[in-house]
Amino acid sequence: MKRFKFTSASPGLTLIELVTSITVIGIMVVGLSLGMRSILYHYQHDSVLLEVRQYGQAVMREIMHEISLSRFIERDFSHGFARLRLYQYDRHGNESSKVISGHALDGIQIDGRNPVDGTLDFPRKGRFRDNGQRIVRLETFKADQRIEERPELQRYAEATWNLELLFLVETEVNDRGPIDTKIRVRRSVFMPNKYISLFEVTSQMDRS
Amino acid sequence: MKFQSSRGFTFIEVLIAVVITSVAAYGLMLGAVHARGELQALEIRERATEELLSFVEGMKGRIADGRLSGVERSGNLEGEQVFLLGNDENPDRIAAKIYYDPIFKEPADSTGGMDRYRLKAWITWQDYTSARYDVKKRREVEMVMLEFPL
Repeated sequence: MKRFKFTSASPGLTLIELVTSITVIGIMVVGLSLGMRSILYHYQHDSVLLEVRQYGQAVMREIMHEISLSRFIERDFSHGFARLRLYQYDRHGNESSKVISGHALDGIQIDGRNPVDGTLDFPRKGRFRDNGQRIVRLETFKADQRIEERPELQRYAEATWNLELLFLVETEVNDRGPIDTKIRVRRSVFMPNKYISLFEVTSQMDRS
Repeated sequence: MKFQSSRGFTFIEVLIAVVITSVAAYGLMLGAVHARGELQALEIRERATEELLSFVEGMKGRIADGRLSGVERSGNLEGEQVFLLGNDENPDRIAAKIYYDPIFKEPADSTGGMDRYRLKAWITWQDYTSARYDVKKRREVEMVMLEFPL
């Protein structure tokens, strides 16, 4: 039977060296884990913000498209959000209307449906938003006619609308309490059809 | 069976390993912070594009209306201030300026009937999210617009 035989003693680390190593590694691990936690939090938060921002841009494009095709526009308010009724006419003069409204938890709705033929969902649910981690809601939907002081620009002003969407992302996962992040999307839109209609109305009034 | 002599790690070796790991972790974190900065820069760029397109949309209406004054036609090379982040009262703000070149009538095309004008507008802003603070960013748009013959 063969016997194990150590040829020399293994010195290894002394107790002091071991304690020092553990302390240094411990400090490093604490620092790293805090850093990683912060990175993870920001990654999650930025992912949600990016989705909300993309939704805002897409929905604004859709609203602008609908408004630019419209000849008449009426505005009132519902649940604190602007509600727009748009009247559009095809080349044969047939009238159709659309209603654009804002809802805190469903975002922008066109005729009671999500924009882009019902395919553009409000990013209320999804990754990093479940279990109350984050609450996404539409805070403001404003639509105002442009204000111009110069009388000769009144027709232009009446055919130009300023739109504003404000989304709120409320984060509950942060240690320092909930943090609100606001995302604002603003655009102006000129309505060529409405402008031409206004000109026709003014011309008729002038003639009569 | 006979074991070779095994010394294990010395204190210096352990410390060197810790330093190398720390440097690698620091690099990773720096990368993550940089990525976040780039994301913010992208957000600011989107806001700048939004402001520029809103301005151009407004000018589209003014050109269609045909009532631009001589001063307005001669462009704005001084720039009009807008805020991409915050506002005048907010210390955390990013200001930008929108400029446009003088607006000239385009030569009439074969379809005729309508006057066409070329508008070249651009927006510039200081990018505070970049590693270098003196970076001036710019977005530009050039369009031909119609004056309605009404």
